[in-house]
Amino acid sequence: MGQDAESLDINQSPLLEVRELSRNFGGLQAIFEISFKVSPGQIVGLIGPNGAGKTTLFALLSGFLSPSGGEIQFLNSSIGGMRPDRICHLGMARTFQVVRPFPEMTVFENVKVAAIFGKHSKRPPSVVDQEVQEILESTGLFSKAGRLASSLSLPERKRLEVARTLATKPKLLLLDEVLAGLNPREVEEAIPLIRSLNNQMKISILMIEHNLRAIMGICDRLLVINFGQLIFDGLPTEAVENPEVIQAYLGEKEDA
Amino acid sequence: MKLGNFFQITEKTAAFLTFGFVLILPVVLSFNPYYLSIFIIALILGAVSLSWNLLAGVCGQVSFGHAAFFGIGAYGSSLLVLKAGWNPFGAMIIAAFFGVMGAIIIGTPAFRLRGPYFALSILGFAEVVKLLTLNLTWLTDGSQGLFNIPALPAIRIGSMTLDFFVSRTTNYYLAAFLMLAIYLVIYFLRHSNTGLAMSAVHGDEETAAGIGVPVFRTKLLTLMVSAFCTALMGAFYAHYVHFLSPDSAFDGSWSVMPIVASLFGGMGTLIGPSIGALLITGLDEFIFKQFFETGHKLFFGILLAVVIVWTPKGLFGKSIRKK
Repeated sequence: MGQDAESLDINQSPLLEVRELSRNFGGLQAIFEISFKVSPGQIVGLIGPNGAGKTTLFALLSGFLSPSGGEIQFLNSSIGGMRPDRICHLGMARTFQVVRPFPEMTVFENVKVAAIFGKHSKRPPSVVDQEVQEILESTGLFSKAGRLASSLSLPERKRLEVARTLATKPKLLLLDEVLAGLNPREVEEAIPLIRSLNNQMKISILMIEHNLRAIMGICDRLLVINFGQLIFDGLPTEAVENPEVIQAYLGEKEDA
Repeated sequence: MKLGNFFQITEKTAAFLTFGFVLILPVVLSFNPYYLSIFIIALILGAVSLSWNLLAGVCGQVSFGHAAFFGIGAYGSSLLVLKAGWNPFGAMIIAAFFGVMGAIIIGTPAFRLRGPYFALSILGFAEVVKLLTLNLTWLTDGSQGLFNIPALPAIRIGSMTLDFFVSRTTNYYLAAFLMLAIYLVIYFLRHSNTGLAMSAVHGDEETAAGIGVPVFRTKLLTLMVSAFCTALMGAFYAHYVHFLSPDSAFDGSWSVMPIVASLFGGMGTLIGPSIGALLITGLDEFIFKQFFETGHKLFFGILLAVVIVWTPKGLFGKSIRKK
């Protein structure tokens, strides 16, 4: 019963709230007055043509870029312009589009460093090691624990990228094209992983993805941006029928 | 054909072999004072190289100006002894902390910049400190330098007296002990949580920040430890040679040779740089000097180029495994 009351309470206040967020590089308006919310437990997809500003938006949310204007609220604290490591401590972690493992460290160490520094709470080393092992198991990397990260294949590196962010115990995970570059079979294997993060670990997810079939299947909600502006916010099924989205993202009908 | 294909040893074994070699080297040289003096400098260089490599090889922050910390340690300790009458051992420790202060002064602004700016600004920093030493004549006697810097006081252990004024052997073993102490500090630091953070910062600064690693603090802390150890060796150097000038204490070779030694020995290892320092000293002394009395240093340049092209991870970079 306590749990119900708690989840009800959280449902009323969004996990992430972005208000009129803008960012320009010189004269270029990369992100223009974007507003949206992510509620606890949701998987939200973020799509848009190349250069639409998806990765810039991620960089703003995770502290790698400072906003030129607007407001980012995460768990009721304003995080616009906050340092990335602080934002991580609050419970938001991101993966990178181009995977960036620490090449000279083992898979285990890669995850361990995130487990140690991703959260402020001090735990004894044995507890940290236990956590790391559990994460490696749940991401299917357990047998690779002792290997150098530089020796992993691309799908394994993508898993490591996710494993590392999981070790920081995020409440909101920003996934930047984790499915890109995987073959259909590998995508099939990766989707259950993403679902289980949401179902079992109760992590909310905001994900950039080009693989439309995958994103339609996973996401509760879809955000579409084009030229730095939000042009759609709603159900995935509605998105494919929205003329503006079709025009901007899927292209003219004749082309298809 | 690379050394890594012929033999593979662990970091620990390499360290044992290195310090074992250092221990018996004076016997091999039959305590010849000239050769001892050469290898005392090699050990000082070895210890500075270990410290430089903690910053560059482990944390990924290349410094072109470690001479700054070496000179600060040398002058700091000498002045505390000459002008304030301190015991040289105490002065050495405090002088090492002067090095830490220098690290904070240059690291605080420089580590906020990304890219090669740290390497460049520390180069400038070394020059500034040298010019200060040259011009603050009331304190440092300027270009005249400092004379008669006292040797470390003799230590009595039971019936044995360790004399640092006359005996080269005693100085040699103290230098070896300092190098060992610095190695142990670096070894344990590397295997701590902070060491993991250093590796992560080396691997990818942005990603490290993204998973909660305090990047700036990690880099500054690494520089502070590196500067402490370097300044300590500078202080030892001052009490060993008894004479300092801005040109000798802040000599650019204290910035350059640790880089050369680390590239030789392998930046990816912890012990490698000290092996590199001993190796280049040995090569220079026993081979190059025999054939070319003048210009023998020229061979470093050629040899370094060959090593970098042939085996970029250093001669032992592939032979010494991390675990």
